Amino acid sequence: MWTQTIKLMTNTVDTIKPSSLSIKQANDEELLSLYCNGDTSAFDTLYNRHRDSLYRFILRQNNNMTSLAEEVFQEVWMNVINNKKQFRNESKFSTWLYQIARNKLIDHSRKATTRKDNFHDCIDDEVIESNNPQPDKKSQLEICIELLQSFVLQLPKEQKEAFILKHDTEHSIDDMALIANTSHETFKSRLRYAMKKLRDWLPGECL
Amino acid sequence: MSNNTPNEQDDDNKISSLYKQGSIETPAKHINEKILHQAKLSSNNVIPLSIKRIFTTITSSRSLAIAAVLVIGVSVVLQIQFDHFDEIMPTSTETYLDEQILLENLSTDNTERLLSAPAQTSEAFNNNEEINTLNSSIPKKSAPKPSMKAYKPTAKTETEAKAKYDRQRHERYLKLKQKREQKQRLERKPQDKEELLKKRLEKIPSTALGISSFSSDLDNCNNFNNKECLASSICTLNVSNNKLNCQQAKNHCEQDFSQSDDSIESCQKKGKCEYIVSTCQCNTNGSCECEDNTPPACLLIEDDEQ
Repeated sequence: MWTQTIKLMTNTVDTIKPSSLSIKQANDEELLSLYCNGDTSAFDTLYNRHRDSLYRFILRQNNNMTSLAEEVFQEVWMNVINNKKQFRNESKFSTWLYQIARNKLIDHSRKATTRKDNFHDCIDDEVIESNNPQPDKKSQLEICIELLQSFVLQLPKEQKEAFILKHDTEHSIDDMALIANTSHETFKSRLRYAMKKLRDWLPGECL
Repeated sequence: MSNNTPNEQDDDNKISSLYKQGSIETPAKHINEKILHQAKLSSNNVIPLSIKRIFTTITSSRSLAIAAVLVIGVSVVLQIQFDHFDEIMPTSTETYLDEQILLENLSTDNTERLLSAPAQTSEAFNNNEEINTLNSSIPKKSAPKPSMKAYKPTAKTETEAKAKYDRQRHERYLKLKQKREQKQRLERKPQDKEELLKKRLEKIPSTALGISSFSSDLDNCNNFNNKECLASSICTLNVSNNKLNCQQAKNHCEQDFSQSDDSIESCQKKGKCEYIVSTCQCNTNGSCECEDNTPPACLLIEDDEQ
């Protein structure tokens, strides 16, 4: 009888213990659920899945200011870790994650507004300098990339957000509209305006 | 600046492609480590899912739960039975010892009845099927020596103390046995009751009950019907207010005397006792009608001189 019990337990462990393969195949919500139950490897996978895109989303929204972006980035993940059990499967995990990031960015932009009159017009001198093309040393492609990045930073806040969400993440229009806290049509409109401006601003050599 | 391109869609694709080529920033390594470390610290307070599920599987497994309950239940019952009967059941050696001790030490008239008790009890033990069954279920002790774990010498001599201890053991056994029989009697059908009573009276002689057993049987007499009372050697069926009442045997004539089974000789043998002849007709429900409304009885002869 005990042998059967041990066998049963072993089988149970085998069936419930998520293998590395199944973790990679699991969706974000399943990974978060596993992490909520103590599986830290699930969090590692989840983090690696969204790490870069989220970081770039924050970095661009902070006008490529690395130190501030890192600060916000850490705050976002700490928020996820501390409030993991508050996540409900009403929305996707990635939507929830970017909503947290957006709220953090708004908090930081409010603080920044107290220091500077216009957050949107404020572009770090360092960033502008770093984005300025140096024709002698860089290829045309590199110049075009840097120009595009600097133009993106100069887009109005909502259009910049729409453009970054579209290009740095892999969300659907509906999810992006949800993150931006707006309607589907408004979001598409913002995106269209952003693209038009960039088309207008970029030199013909880059297109 | 190109305001109007021939194909806006192509331009959009080129812009997207350019932007993605430049999107190579990643968070610093120390930030990754910090966040992952924090995640691990946070999860340390959580019971892992695997352990939770194993626990749930074990606790919710019906067969395991039933098995556990059965094992615990059976072991507890066996333990209780073993402890209980080990304390109250005299072994054959102990019964023999009882007899020897009593023969040596008890000589008064009042204890004459007790004198015969152990021997008869021993016989009763051997005849009683229930006890034999119980005896067989209890593992026998290898040591032939009687258990003296509850023995505390309070009497003057050791032999007296032993006798007292053994008497107490014997009385406790009888009380328990009577309780069990009473319980069984209440549970059985009337016709079974009758058979059981007859059997019991045949197998356990009334003398084996001892004096102390009468006090415990005080309540039993009220529970007997007329037929049982007539057969009983510890109760007597009397007439009071033209009604038949079953009462406890009052004197040595009534004690150990069955009104329905015992003879005139057994009454007269007791000394200072007179047998009243009568016949009773009893129904299957146990109620009886006696000649002149007086049941047969063994009465004490009043001494006029005293």
